[in-house]
Amino acid sequence: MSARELTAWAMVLLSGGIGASCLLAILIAGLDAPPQPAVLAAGSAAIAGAIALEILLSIFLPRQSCAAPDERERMILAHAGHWSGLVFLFGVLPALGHYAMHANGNVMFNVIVLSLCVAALVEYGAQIVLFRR
Amino acid sequence: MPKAPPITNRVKVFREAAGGLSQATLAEAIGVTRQTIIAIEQGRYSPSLESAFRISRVFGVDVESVFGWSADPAGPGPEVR
Repeated sequence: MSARELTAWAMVLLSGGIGASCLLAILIAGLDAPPQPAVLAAGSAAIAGAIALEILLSIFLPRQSCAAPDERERMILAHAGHWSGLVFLFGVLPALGHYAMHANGNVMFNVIVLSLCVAALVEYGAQIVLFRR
Repeated sequence: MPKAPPITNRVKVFREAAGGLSQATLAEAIGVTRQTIIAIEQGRYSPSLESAFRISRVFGVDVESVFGWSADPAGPGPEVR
């Protein structure tokens, strides 16, 4: 398994965990509730987790983790990024539309946070599928 | 299962003929990852023209000795002018 696939697996787990906790916090508080501390903490945890993962990869797989993506990997990363961007768009556009109609920034924030989590899952999930195909 | 690309190759044959050159060594020689060499050998990925030339240069042969075209009977083959 390449370092990039390993990263994708770790990020799927991280995004899944973060996304599930955000979803739970938002569902409990309601979609129109103000930004929840749990969601903000999950965002910080996602950043810290990604940094920790990169540090671990640099320690245990120094050559692979520092190497630039080759032609096949670049194509895979581009495809996965394209699909995740589309998923994110499908979340952001209704959120913006809702904000334009109802001027409720809380709904927009919560929907965009959930869209980010789903988009991250799609991006890293797609990378795994394409790396293994 | 994804459709195999029409580009065929004999990379594994040449690699074994070259004294059992490892996938990792070949990958390093042409500047790709070992996973990409595996994907090429298994016909799951068609390399760029640049990589195809690099691979053939490693084996000291021309590119058509290593790579070929297997036209889909249902579809049009390469256009020859």
